[in-house]
Amino acid sequence: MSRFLLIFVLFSLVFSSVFAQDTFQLATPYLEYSSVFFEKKCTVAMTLAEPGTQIHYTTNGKIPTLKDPLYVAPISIKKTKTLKAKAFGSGFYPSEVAEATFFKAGIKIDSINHDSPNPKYAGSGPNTLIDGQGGEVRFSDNCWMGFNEKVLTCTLTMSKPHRIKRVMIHALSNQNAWIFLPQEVEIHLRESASNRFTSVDTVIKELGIGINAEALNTTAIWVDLPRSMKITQIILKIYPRAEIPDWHPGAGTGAWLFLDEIKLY
Amino acid sequence: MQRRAFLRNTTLGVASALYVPQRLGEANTVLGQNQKRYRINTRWSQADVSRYPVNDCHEMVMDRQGRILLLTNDVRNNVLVYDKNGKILDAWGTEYPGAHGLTLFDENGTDVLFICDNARHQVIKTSIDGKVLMTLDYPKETERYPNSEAFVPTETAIAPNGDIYVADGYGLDYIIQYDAQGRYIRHFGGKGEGAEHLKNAHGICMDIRDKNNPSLLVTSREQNAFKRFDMEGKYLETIALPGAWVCRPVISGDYLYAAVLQSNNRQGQQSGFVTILDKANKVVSNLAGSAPSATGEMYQTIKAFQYPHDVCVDDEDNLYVCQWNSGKTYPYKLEPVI
Repeated sequence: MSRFLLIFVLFSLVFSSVFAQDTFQLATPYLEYSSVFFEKKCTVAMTLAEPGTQIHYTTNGKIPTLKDPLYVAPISIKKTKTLKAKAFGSGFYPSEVAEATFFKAGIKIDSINHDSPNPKYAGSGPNTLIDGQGGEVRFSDNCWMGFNEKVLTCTLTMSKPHRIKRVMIHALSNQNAWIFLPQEVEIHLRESASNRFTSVDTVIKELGIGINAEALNTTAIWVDLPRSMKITQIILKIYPRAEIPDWHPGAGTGAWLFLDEIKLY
Repeated sequence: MQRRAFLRNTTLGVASALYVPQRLGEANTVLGQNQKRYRINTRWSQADVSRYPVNDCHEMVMDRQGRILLLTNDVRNNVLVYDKNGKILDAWGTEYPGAHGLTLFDENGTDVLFICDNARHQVIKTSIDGKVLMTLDYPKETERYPNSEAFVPTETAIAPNGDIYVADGYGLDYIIQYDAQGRYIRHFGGKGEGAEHLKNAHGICMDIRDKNNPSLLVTSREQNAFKRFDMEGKYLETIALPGAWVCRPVISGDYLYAAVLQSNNRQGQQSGFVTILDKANKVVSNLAGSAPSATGEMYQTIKAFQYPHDVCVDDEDNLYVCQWNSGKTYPYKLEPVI
């Protein structure tokens, strides 16, 4: 009996070293949707084509756990909110979190004029930044416009006066591709009081930027106006990061700015 | 019999409970689908890192003695020679800073190697133990190359008659055909928008699965495809592999194997996997990748690999997968699950 035991112990040790287990992490699931910007609702599918795995998701901002809803069929999103999804499977470490924020339509912008993008990244045409399309992190996707001048000036015009409280600029970070969030946004408003343009206000917002070489995501930059204002025209001056930080291979040179949408609320 | 079986179960239970409770209970992770499923062993290589360092592990081949040869761009030992159990048998090569492509050819019963060096801008033919037999410089005869730097060969394929086909996958994307003595015959492919053009012609191999119609399969990696040409360079067909940045095609038996450097949707994010196609060019299995389906892009589903760069299939259908830019990891072995 003891000899058998010894043999099996030895066998077990050899077996365990030869077949030592590697536990792998599941890849981040994919979120599928036509655009993060929607009028009434947005339908979102979540996938990871690995049999035996499940996706759990939240829309309350928290990291999904096994106790959160199990994904079974595409969901409808009807309000501005953030979806987070995570894959789980027996024998694997759970995935990283897939995340996207969806934006319900704001005030209708009738026309936009802005400095030309770099011709290589000209989006889908002159209305790219107000066409309601966007949200992909692939900068080559034609929802994005890429700019590499010192400042980008955009003029947004509405056919009739609207009350505006917030401006949202949807930008890309892909620091491996030298694409950083803007450094500063200035907002010049033409306030309409009894249909007369009377004043120009300026809002400056310094944007904090983390050091993260892997950063690859989209960010909604929200700028609150000092008060609700009734306007027909708004001018944005968006400043790309003038100097790429020291830790980056592109240190000291100007960063790229990529935008896919500007919204007013 | 019953008693013996009972004893065995008991002792096994005791042994595993006492000594290795978790490990014995689990087998190595199984990757893949359908008839092509494998257990992955990331600790196959027994190489001592202080003696046999590697950098990028670009390609592997098996020789007639059943040895596995690995090509790395670490000039302390460009070629590591393993047995199938991962033991180092030999190491050689200090002159290949851009060692990238490794092809083995049976030259009248003798194994010879063709190394593509994309830092030296040359293709070097050697004996199986590293003696240099021939060197091909940049193909002036094509009148397409302003200088040697424009030629950045990534792979070779050798026809049964000894003709050498060089894929200039990091250069101008031409396939350049030479005779066995290294004399230029023709070139084809190259960059462009036509079906016959290539974008990152990263790999090439002979396909003799149809014995009456031997052909060449060429990688067009940025197009996520293989393209088939006849032996004279006439374009025949495209095998689209949406989402898959395929490296070189490797044919063994009826199947085609390829390391997928990364998923198109997740570039630069260590999103590689391995794809396997049947004779009808249909994907039957993705190892650590999405289950084959008729639609959509393929992608990584399990982070088992970072940037796989080549697959070697041995005579027992085991796979060896080596990787580029993946923390100087040694190759992994994958054993078929029957």
